[in-house]
Amino acid sequence: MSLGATEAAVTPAILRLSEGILRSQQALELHVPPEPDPPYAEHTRPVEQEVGGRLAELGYPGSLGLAEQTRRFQDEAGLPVDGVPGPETLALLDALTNFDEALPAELVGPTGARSPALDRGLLHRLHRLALVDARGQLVATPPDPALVEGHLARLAPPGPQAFAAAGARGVHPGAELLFDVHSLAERATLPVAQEAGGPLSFATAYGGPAPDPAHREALRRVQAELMGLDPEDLEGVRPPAPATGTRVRPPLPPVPPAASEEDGADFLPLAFADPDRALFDTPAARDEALHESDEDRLVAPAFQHLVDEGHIRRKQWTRFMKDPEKFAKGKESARGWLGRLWRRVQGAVKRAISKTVEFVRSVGRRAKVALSSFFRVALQRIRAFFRAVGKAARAVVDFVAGRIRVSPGSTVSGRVLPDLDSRLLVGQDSSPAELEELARAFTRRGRVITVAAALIGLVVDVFQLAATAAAVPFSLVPRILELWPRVRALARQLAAL
Amino acid sequence: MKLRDALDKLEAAVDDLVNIEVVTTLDLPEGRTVALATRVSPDLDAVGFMSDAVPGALAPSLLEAHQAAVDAALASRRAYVQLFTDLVFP
Repeated sequence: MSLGATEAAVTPAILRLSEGILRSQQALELHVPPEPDPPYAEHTRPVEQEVGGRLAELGYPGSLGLAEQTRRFQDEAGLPVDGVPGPETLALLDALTNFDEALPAELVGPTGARSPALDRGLLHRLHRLALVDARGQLVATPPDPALVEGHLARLAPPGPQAFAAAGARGVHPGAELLFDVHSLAERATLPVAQEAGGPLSFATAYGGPAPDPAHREALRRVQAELMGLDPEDLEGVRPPAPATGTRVRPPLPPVPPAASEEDGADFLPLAFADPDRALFDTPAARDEALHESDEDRLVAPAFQHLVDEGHIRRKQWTRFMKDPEKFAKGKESARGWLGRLWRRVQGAVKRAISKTVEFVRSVGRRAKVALSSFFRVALQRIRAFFRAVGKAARAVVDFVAGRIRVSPGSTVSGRVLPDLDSRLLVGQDSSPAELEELARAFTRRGRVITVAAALIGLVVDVFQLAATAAAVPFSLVPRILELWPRVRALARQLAAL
Repeated sequence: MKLRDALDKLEAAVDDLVNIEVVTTLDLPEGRTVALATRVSPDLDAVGFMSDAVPGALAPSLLEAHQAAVDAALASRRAYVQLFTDLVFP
């Protein structure tokens, strides 16, 4: 497999991978970065926006496909019908759909009749003004006057120069267009609408009989006021009555097609590749999407629908990929997208690792603090306990150590040292009775020491028992039963002393 | 202080604590002399000493007093050992 074929096979997989990643992020409600442009976007976007989207705004459904859309538009605008959005087609389309541009006066014939494409442009502007609905009918509820005035302020009718030029030719496309636009606005927003005898459709307004003179005069005043002209200035350029039901296509010079129809189809591999495919379930949904000014809301669902349904034409896609220039740009864009994806994955992995390390460190710090606190407290308590025991033992030794008391004036004496060594001092003239008394004193001292040690042990056990009982109360009973014989034995020893 | 000296002192202290020495001294005009001496090691090995200077009439009573002192020392040591044993291995 050659390198080009490999890239051609890998690139769609990469695109599907990106879609999968994005959907997963959306499903998991994670942070969704701005959706990256696919590599073909920069090639197809101008066509989708300038031709497909704007043709849809004019009422040519996107489901027809760009070629059919362009064909119908060219037919209604008097352009050569070739289905290719050439420069002239784009310029005319831009003039019709750009709200800041003047409506093209050349679409009005010498007799004042307008082409259907111009009607669509007018309808589009009226729809943007919220004066008519998607089907060209006047809205039943008058829109907010402030909103209409805001849009009218942006409306750019044919200026006075075009107006004068048309008047010099005996026609008055500007006056006619402006008159019609504002007459509809007037019908929807001013009390003059009550004179029209009910709702007036766009087609009726252009193809039906002219309104009554009083109504027309009122509209002319509005028109003159909006254009800054006096009503007398308009007298000489009053348009003749248009032919009812007939529309003359302006004799525009034919424009040779810049490319073949097949190339045009090849230029649009994705969104408009299936002309027979209905993108929307209901006409209302279609109209809403077609007249949506936000292009993303139109293109994104259509593209997603085609991708989901598998209606992308592999053949056209392959031909698109075989174009060296397009393929090079697509590959460069794909490489940039892959770079961004890789950097995003790297960033996510780094953030995950950083958070994990920080979590482990925090747990380690807390565990270290807890353990150190526990051992420090335990060590302090153990040291305090043994210090207390040592003091008690030293007190007992100090108590028991020392001279053994015998009768005053006796010639014998005894002494117990702190290490329990004993010393006896017997005089030469000591009597056996004195020695027996000394023996009893030593025996008694031994019992006192024994009882004192037992008492210290019992006190320690009682303290331990109290500490244990505070934590485990049910362990108190067996410990008390265990200590009870020791208490009784100690009491007996104390009584014997 | 050298380590050897410290170890010797520690050994002497331990030996002094765990061994029981009971000494009975006679106060004679010519001076004091050891009449009876007993040394009991922790393994209950005991060494006794009795001097010839002990008067014969006083010997039984003197021996009884010396034995009472030894018994008291043994009982005291046993009580202390029991106390610390209970503390360490309750």
